[in-house]
Amino acid sequence: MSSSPDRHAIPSTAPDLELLRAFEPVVRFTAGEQFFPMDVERYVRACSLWQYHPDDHDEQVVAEGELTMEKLVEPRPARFGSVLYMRFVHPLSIEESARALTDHQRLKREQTHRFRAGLGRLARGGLLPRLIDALFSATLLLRGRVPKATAAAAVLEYAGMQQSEERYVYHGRVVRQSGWTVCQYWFFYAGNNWRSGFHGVNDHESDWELVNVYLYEQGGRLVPEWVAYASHDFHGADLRRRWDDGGDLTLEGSHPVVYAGAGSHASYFAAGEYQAEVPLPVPGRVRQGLDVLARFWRRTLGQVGEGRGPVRAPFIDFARGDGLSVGPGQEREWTPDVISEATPWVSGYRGLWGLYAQDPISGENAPGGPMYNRDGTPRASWFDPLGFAELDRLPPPPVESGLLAAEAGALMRRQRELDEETPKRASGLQQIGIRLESMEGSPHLAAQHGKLEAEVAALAIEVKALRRERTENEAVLEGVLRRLRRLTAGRRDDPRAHIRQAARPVPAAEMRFGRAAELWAAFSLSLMLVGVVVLIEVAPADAWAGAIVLLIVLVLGESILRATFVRTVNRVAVILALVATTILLLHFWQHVLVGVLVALAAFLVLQRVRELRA
Amino acid sequence: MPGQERKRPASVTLVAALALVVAAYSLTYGILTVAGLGDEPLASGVFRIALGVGALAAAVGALRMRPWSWALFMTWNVIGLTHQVLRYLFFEDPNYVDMAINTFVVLALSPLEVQIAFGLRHTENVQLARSTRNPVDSA
Repeated sequence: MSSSPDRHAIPSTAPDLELLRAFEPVVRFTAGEQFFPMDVERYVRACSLWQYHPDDHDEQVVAEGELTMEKLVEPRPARFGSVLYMRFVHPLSIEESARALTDHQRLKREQTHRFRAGLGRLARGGLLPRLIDALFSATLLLRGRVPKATAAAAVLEYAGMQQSEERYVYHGRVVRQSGWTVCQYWFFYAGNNWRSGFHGVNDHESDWELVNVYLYEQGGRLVPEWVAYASHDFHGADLRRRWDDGGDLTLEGSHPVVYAGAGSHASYFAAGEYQAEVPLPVPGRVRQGLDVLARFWRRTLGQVGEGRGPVRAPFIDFARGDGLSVGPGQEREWTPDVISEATPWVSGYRGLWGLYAQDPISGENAPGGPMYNRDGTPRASWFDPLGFAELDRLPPPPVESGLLAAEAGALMRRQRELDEETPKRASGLQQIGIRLESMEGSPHLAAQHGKLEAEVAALAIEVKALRRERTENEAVLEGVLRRLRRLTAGRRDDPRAHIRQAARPVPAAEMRFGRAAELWAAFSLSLMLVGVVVLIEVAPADAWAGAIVLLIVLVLGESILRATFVRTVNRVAVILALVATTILLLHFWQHVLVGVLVALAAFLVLQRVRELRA
Repeated sequence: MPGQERKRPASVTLVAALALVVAAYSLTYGILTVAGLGDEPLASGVFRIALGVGALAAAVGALRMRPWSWALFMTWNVIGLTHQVLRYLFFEDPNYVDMAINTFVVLALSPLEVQIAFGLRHTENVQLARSTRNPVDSA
């Protein structure tokens, strides 16, 4: 649904709350979602406050039931390395854990909107992504993590709160920077249960998500121009869409529609299921080596390169939008809460908003607040909402024409200066050049000649730079004037020109797996490991050879199920051919060298004969 | 590309010719064995005949630019190369001629333009941009 931004403009004198309400998003959740945006005060009142000390012990600072917003922001001096955090769920005994898990299952069965993963999570990646999935699960045994029972207890606790008073809250902030007015919608959730509830990457107590609406002023009215959603794997300009981008952005009147990931609460512009990328933290040298290999694969071997990264885990962010919808005119409406730096809990609390699970890669640690990162440093999306979506480099549309005209004027003035300056310098260069030429053949002028030569070289560089600048300016000026003419004529840029990489749901075609493929995906890794064990037991001498054959058979067999046989057989064949080439070169290097030298000699003879005959 | 004649790359013709040689050799050897004119057992003769028929089919398919023949060649060479590489790595008894022929066939049939000629890939997916070095561009 596309819409003219002007139609949604509101008076620029509108108070912040009215401004926030005018553009508050509609958030569509996935069926089965168990946490919804809530007010921080109810959450804080249910929490206890803790301090982790660098000597590896946790100290309770304020007990559960005693924490208030005032107590939360009390100054608490602490040593470097200590972490202040809240706990929504107190440490559970075995009985409490069992009860929480049972009650959670019952609650899930009672839900109106129930989640079904459907076919395909494991089958969406090949063997490698499934291996990463298995390794990732294994790392959870070693890393600090939020126990499943804690996540279940958080769900129950939140459900209890909603039962006593059902409220859907956003924390809104209006900030004005560089001619833009930004409406920030901060959504606070009591928990993120993406891993335990929806086969995702992580669980953590509490969650913060952000939607920004960017407006500019024209004729005493504020007009919406851009909207940006916080999302996994994407940064900067990729996060924003223009208000008139009907292809990607859905509007309900003047309200942008957000599709929230199940459990993760990441925001998407379109309903669907998104596959998470897992970038491996490889060192720079290794990355360079991989780039060289990729170039060799594409250019030397003429193979098709992978559009996506090779390391993809089969984690899916389900943002189906088939569950509860919250927002103006939806099943549930928002209760707004206006915040700013002056709000004590925003600026006064620098700790974590939930359990500090001591996960070294932070995936299971609770997040910091809207104004701070986990380590207490200021959060860029708070102090630089324009930079968050790379809007810091764009002026608001009404100002742009004026800036462009000024830029064109400055460039034209510089061109005139260059037109005067360059001939003078060029003429000077020629004069010195002539003097230099005249010194040739006079050995007694060697010293002056050397000095002049250096002068000529320096002046030549200067003249070249001036000429280069003029030519470059001409091209820039042409672009500036073209843009100015386009803007004056009322023509706008392509609304998607700024997008480098957009989040796209996994296309439906890739998800049509048969039950056989799904079963295969679930068991193939285990099957391979069992096969290797059998080989070690039955034929230990041939175990390595057998394992290689088994791997190739599994990869090719799976490619038939996934309808990628041609691509896979080609890759396997090329890899084997490269191994064989290496073997042949190692074994016959002398013959190869002789062959190359003979061929080179023949080529040179042929070239010379051609030259002689020409 | 239905109704459109695809140009056969020279490398494909060469691979087809190699397959024809293998087919002729295997069929002749197999028939002679089945007829009882060699020392090999009957099963070996039958296997040679089957191999010959397969090679003949793959060669004819390649000459007519059939996509299935490309897949057949690749599968055949994956088996052949796996066999030879494992013999080299674990049994120190490789057949280097077989290894070289298999490698040549894979590298001859793998380039993108050959796959496009076979109709296995579409031209719009091709990345034509390749870096060039031209003195005019320097400095």
